[in-house]
Amino acid sequence: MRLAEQPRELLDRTQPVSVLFRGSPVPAFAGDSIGSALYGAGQRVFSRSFKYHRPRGLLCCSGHCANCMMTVDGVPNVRVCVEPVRNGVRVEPQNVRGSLENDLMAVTDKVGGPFTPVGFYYRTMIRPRRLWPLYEKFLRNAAGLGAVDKHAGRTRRFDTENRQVDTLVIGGGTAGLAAAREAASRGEHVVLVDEGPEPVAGQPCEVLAPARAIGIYEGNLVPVDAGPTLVRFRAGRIVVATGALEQPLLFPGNDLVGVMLPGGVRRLVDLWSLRPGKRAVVIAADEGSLGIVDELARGGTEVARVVDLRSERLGRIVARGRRGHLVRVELDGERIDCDLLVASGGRQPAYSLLAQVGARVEYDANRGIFVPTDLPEGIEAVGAVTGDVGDAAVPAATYNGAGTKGKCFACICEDVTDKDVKRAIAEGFDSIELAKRYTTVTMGPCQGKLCHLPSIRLYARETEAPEAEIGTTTARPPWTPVSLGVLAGRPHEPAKRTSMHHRHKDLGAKVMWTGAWRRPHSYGDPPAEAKAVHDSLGVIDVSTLGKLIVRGPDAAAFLERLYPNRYGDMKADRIRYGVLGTDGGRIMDDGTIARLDEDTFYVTTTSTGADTVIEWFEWWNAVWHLDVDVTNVTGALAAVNVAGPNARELMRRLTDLDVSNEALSYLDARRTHVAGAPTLILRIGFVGELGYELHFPSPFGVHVLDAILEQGADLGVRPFGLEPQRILRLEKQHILVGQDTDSESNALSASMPWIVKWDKDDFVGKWSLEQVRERGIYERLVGFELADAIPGVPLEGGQVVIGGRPGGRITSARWSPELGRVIGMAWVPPALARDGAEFAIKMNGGVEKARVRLSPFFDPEGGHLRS
Amino acid sequence: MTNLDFLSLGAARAAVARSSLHRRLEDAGAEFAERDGWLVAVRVPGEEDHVPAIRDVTHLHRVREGAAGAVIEFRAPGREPVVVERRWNGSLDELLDVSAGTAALQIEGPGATQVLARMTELDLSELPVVGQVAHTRAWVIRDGEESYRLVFGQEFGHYLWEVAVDAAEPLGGGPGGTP
Amino acid sequence: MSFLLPCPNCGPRDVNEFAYQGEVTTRPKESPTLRELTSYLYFRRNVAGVQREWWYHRHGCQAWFQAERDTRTNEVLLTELPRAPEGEGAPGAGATPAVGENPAV
Repeated sequence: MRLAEQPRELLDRTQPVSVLFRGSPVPAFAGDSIGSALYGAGQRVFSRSFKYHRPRGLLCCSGHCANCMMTVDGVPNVRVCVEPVRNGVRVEPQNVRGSLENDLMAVTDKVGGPFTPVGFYYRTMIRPRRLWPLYEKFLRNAAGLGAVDKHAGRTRRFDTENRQVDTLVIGGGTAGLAAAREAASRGEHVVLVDEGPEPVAGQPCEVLAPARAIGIYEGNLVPVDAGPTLVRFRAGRIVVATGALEQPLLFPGNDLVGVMLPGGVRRLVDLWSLRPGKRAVVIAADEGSLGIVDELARGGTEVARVVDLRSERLGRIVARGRRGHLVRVELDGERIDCDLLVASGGRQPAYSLLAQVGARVEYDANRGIFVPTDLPEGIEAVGAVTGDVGDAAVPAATYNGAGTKGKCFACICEDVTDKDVKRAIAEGFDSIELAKRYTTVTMGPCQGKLCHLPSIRLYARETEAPEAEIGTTTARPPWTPVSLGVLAGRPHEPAKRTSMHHRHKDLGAKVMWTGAWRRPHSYGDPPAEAKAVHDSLGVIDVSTLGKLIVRGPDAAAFLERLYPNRYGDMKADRIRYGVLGTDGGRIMDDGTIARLDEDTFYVTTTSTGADTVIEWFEWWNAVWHLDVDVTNVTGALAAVNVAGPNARELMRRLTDLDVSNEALSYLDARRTHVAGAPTLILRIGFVGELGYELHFPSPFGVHVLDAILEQGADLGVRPFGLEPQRILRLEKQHILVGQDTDSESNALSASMPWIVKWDKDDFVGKWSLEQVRERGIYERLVGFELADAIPGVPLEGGQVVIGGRPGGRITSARWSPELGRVIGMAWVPPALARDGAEFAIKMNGGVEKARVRLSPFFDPEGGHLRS
Repeated sequence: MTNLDFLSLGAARAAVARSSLHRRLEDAGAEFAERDGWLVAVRVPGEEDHVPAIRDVTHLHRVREGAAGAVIEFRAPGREPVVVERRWNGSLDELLDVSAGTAALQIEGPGATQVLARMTELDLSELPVVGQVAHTRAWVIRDGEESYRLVFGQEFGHYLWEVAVDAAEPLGGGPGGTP
Repeated sequence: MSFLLPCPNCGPRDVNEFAYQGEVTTRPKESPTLRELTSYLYFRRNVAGVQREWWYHRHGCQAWFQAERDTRTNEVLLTELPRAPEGEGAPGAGATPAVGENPAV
């Protein structure tokens, strides 16, 4: 029933709004919460409980318990008691089969109790095992909260914002406001956050409300859920003024509709001008809670009995109901008819944020509460959260006795009764962390706000140990439930694209991820693209390669120390292939090194290894302090590889440089202009045909690619992607680090012993390689081919079978259109590393025969490359 | 010192340069004109209503960077140059011009600070800095009360443009041209 | 993880701006026995306490530096740029690379 205007009401009675509840309009005012609007229209049952489907009504009206959770505009598990109304908002109950008033699943309350005690799912529904999917389906439908609409898509926008402040005050009550005012008066940049629903009384500084601090993380990072925005605060100082939480009493019937906490009643009357009941009983443990009698009088509720637990001892409290609604309270036998029971066992400081950041928690036996202590630097606590809750009685663990019937709930969210807790302890789960996990007390939506302290009191009584010894469970974020959308923020994926990326898409490229790069897999026809490189001319974008300029008087010495190869004797404008190893002798990366002059080298790395190699180079120089400078030009230079019999003719058309085989030979480097762009030409050949790799400033990417496609049109030029490139390089048995090698592979086992120059004094990995050479290798990387008749291509990672057991693995395999057969690379025992040796591979449901080839499948002499 | 012209944008002969934000601006319907060898988006339809405006200023920037530190400059005809120097150790004279490796965008107009606060955790009262912006490395430079420039790896151009324009959208911002 | 790491060049920044490279170890000065080599490559002290370790300011100045951090609390006690090895000239190509007293690697 809506009362006349109350002095502190939030309502704007000039602005009526309408809430659609179960499809029917319910009248409300701006300033109402959805819960207060429904209550005002007579709704008393707001949800059905998790396991037993018992009717539940408003309890706390502060967004802490789970009793009022409904689905609002398609979003499940919204606490309507604090959710502001919006005109036309659609509200539906959840976890019911039937209606809130008549939930068919309530049979579990009547009948299911004996079958579903605490931890029942650890002992039942196990055999027969094949029926588990059926059990699971039943359980998931029978118990739970709201359902997520899987087709909702991105229906809401969530942003993330970062702020730095001198002082962040969490909690806008009296103490929080005073702390904010004081900090502001000192000239500090202060922000205060409050969860609502009461408005903050004053504006000493910037106020964010309603906004909930999710946790306090390292570095004084406090993420605050402020509706559609997650605000991440970094604060020099955090003042926690989160107050203390009213605690329920434990007695049979303590979950009936009509049993409420004082704060809940206060809000109904003061904020939303609603009469909370006709006739009330009040049981309170402290002065503040007793004050609810005034609110009740103002609201026109008859107060039939007041119990001050500080002066009156009670042995038994029983609440009786009809169809889940409170009708009567029995206090030590005295029967009082009523429809409202305001019951509170005192207030527990809301210390969780402090505990998260490292504060200790101690039990105060006099007042029966846990109090935070030993706060770390930069964190302060003020007000009730420090334990300043006034004089209060310590309630009994439960107010039932032997033989009292009716469920007495320790955890209302999870439907855990006092009997469940006793049983868990009897089964041996007698430490609080174990008991919590077994019973699930404090693991529901309230996260222990209303059940942690009462359950500890219960454990203490049942195990006959003092509360101080029992302790509390670890407090972890999030302190309040937070939606994943708020945490996720905006859906942006950091992707790297080359400067020619969009031209590839124009040309029909199928784009794939390699590491953080977006690259063309192919342009629609990988075999044809590979064929074009052999027959005429292909062009591939290799801008993703890592590129480094290494220069200085110690440049050569630096590279000598890092690589097993020799570089000191390289002539200017020549290129060498290099394999980078770890100090354990393992292959890390490979690439080319071009010497530009005495003191300057141009190093390339694999695309996905670029960042690692650059960091590796910088790290070693941080140790050695050589006179060398390493500059990362990976993004500064775009690169393309033009390859095929017509490559030279293309180059003639694009540059003035003499590109005859004599003037620009295999493994030469030249600096010139190509298509008008300043370019470094590297004559190398990953794909096995006459080819030129062109490196030039990235902004000219599209310009140069367009020139190549235009000038190469009558030469049969065709862009090719990563997939045809893989076929081509496999024909030459050019390894891909990370594909054909793994973290164990070294230069010797990977069949590249010539890379290692043993006569060098020292280089990274030398000692390890010496050990390998001495002890021998146990596997070798070889090429293999399949006989024509065998259908299919073996899986990469597929097994090599030796004597009926796994004896190696396949690293790469492809059908080669040029060669007309399946080729690949595999790790095999060294004894099999002989040309023509045969071995078995697991494929086609059985085993097939493969033949080792130690030299490249295509053009083994390298005539094409050097032409 | 050996010829490192292949790094240099200035060493081009009649090759047209595009910033890595080019296609994004093309998709927004921009008009392009050639400025100093670059194809520049000089106007974007609807830019009058985009406050703050997100602009591509890649063609106006130069970066020399290395272990010793960095020097970043923005020069536009008829406007005051913006120059930022940061020295970690050693001499800034030996730095290489790696402008080809970076792109730059400007967030300008009321709300720019809030847009940037939605892209980075960096303290915007302590600029210029180089740090993490939208999961990547960027220089953040302030050149006015509500005007900032970001300089970052050009391979992230497409991505950072998307992040900036998206962050600006609910605040009334959007793409603008660089006349 | 969100603690602040004070970069010697840039000042305190969120730890996610950095890459972590583990404990500072000591590379053997001469050809080690197999046991010494294995110990250097694979064994770490892994203390629950103050550890000296390598960090790289990947999203910032890109300098390598060392920190002393309490692994139990993530409190960072100090950070410093690595010092050059004492009394070492720059060796030419092919000379014995000496690591010197720098307790790095």
